[in-house]
Amino acid sequence: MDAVKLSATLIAIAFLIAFVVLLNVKAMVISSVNQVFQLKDSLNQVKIRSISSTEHNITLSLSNPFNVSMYVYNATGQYVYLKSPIHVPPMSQGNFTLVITNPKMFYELAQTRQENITLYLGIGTFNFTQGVNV
Amino acid sequence: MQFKLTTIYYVLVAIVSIIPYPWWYYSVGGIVTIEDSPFQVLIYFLGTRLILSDVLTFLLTAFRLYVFVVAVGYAFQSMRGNPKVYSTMFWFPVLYVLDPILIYVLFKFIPQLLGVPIQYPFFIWGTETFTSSFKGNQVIAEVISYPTLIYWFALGTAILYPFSRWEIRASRRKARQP
Repeated sequence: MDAVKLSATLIAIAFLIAFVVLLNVKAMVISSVNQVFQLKDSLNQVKIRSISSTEHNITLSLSNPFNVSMYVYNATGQYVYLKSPIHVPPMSQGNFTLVITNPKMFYELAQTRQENITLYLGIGTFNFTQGVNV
Repeated sequence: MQFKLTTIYYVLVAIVSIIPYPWWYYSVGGIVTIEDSPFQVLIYFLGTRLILSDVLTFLLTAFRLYVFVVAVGYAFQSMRGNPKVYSTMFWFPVLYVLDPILIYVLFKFIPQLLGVPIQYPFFIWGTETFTSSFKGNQVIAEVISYPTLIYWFALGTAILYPFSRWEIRASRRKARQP
């Protein structure tokens, strides 16, 4: 090892020691681990709730706990369709409306919880489907 | 100045090591984005920066300092006619193509730890869509991976390395002959 590599190693080690001493590394590591668990929990904070319903449509709200935009592209199911696709900005809520084409048949199904609506959702460019029952 | 190529090579290595921009960019559907280089990592999960990537960046900054000091020192030494061989910054850009393989392993196992099994397509760079089904739901995502300009610059400096080796060898051969 020549003088250049030796001094470079010493400078790098000095930097690491300064990093460990000046910043609270233990707390940083602990908080970074906690952050991963928090993010994991935030996956469960995506909530779809029904706000209001009339005979011909149901309004649902989608809460977005992420720093990425969420989208509702489409909804399929017997006797229902999505009125218009929506975009939910980061950290906010958005409402979307499902239109019921045949209320009588739909509520018959809904009573036995067999209406099985499939929502086409997106987080960023990550798209997935989600089955919901009203 | 005797060892022009070697000096230029080390000056360029010093410049590459000090540039604070990533070499490679990855994104899985905008959910996980990773920007990395041998000297820094920046990971976003669902738009939130992971503190873990900051810790890693601090450790890699020590390595950045090491490479920078060695490159500057060797540049001065070769200017004075005492060239040294330092191959690390030749191998890093060349072997960085292996990085997508590491990322592939990461994306394969970390989502599983979070309880979201995904199937990640294997490719070096470009844009791919992957589909998978999870709990009966269909998932489609766009996976993006591409090297940045800084990476091409680093790879460009690596081209000088064989020439600098050749320059050093030629001068030693000349010195041996009476």
